[in-house]
Amino acid sequence: MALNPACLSFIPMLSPFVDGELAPNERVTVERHLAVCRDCTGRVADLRAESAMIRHGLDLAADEVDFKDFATKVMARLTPYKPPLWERVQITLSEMFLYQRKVMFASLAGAAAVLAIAIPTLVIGKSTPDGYARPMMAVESVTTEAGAKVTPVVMTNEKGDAIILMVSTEQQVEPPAPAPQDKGDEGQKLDQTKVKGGEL
Amino acid sequence: MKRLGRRFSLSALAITLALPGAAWAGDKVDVMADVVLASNNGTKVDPPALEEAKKAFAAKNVNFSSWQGLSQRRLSLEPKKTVEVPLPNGKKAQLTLESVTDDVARVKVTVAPTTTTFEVGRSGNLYVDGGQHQGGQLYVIISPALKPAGK
Amino acid sequence: MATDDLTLVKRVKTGDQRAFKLLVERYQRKIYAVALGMVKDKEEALDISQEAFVKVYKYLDHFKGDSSFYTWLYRITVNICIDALRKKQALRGEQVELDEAVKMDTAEANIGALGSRLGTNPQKSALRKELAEKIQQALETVPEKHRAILLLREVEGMSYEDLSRTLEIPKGTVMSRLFHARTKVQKILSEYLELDESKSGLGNE
Repeated sequence: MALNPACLSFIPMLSPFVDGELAPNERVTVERHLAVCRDCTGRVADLRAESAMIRHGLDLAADEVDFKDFATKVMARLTPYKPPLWERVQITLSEMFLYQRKVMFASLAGAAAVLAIAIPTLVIGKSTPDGYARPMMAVESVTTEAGAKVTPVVMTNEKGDAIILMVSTEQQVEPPAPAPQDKGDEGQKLDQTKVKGGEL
Repeated sequence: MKRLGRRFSLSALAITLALPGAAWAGDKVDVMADVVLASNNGTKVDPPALEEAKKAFAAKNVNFSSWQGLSQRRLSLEPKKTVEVPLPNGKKAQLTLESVTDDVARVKVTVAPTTTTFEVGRSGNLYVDGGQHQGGQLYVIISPALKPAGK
Repeated sequence: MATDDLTLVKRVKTGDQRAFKLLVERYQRKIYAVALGMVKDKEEALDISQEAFVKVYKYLDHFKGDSSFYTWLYRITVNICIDALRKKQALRGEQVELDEAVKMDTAEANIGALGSRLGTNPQKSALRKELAEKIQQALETVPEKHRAILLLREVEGMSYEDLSRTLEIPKGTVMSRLFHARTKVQKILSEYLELDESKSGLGNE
């Protein structure tokens, strides 16, 4: 298939054209060319098909993954259990370098300089907060005062969340049908106050 | 090589000065305490982070269409000292750090007449019923405070 | 969306862990897709995805909020992927891939056949099941930096401006790398699909 030399200048523009990243005047130029060039129109179709294939292929792959626990796992990784100070220095050093993507210092002088920086950083900044050794929160017990008119309802999920609802154990005492309602609001309120006495 | 010597002594100094501070830093345990109003008045979820609360409740078939954050505090709990978080309906949530054993903190939260004792963890929220208020239900949300305060 | 991210980031900085969980949930799928495109191995991609968020959290203080959160997140993800790839190459004794000076390949196979055969709706294509595999194979042949640009463009739909900021390269480089990556992938996809002019006789119509 012979390449039309007229297309040569347009071909590199087709990729940003498909992405909508061309300046308006450039876009118009490309559109004009496409109107008369079957090959380039085909190239644009190929680019669009390729885009769609990549997106779709990765979408299919992502569909296979259950992300339900993903965030929880991330949170659990956030602060590993606090190892002894010297080990923490080593971890911080290697991570610092990985993040910065620089070469590890081999020389003693370099190591000493890094140590001088690393130790103050460690000590000032980013150690695990106290008390947070558990990856997930856990409810131990739920109790109510004696004589309480509510009962706790505890609901938990696998992410470590817990919901404590307080449900009234008392029946809503309905005033007997005819009389109290005729008495009007005030009468009713008095009744309710008596009944609900020591509640919530 | 004199510089090297100085650097070493600098770092040695840093260690001796700072070490007692950090590695055995305080017996304080920090938690976040939010007071929120859940109701079926409207569909506003503010701040957006409360979507998580909405979902957690919905998963248990407790549906509130609207979640409104009322206050957020960072509490620094000290052993046996009670911290109070007032609720707009006159109630209050009382939090006490009971103990810290093997770096696991045990906290008690009381919203009368119920007391919940729990162990703090790096993930997971505790939602405590705070009673009725303005046509909705108040909740106190206790969640981990992992980042140092400030900045 | 960008402002919403920054609001969440501010809350995370004050210790609101729920806000961070929201950020994770917002980006987890796309971060995974990019990581998978980069390293091909599913388990590794999942691990890298988690690691990216962990790193983001740890170094949140380094994020000034002067750029958008997601370019920073993607930059970290791409860096972790490239490091992982280089480690593997080093172990295998392969040469670390340098930026190719790619000359424009004018001998294309079958212009338009890819487009016409698949259309822009791959769901209709009979090759759907093998699609993911073919894509991965094709991507593997692209130099890692070119691969990163292509993935960020296709998965996240990043503008050239954002791509330039995320990967810290000039916009012109973005454009040329994207063009070359696409040309390479197209060729390989065409070959896999055996769109040999003589065999399939599909032509350009």
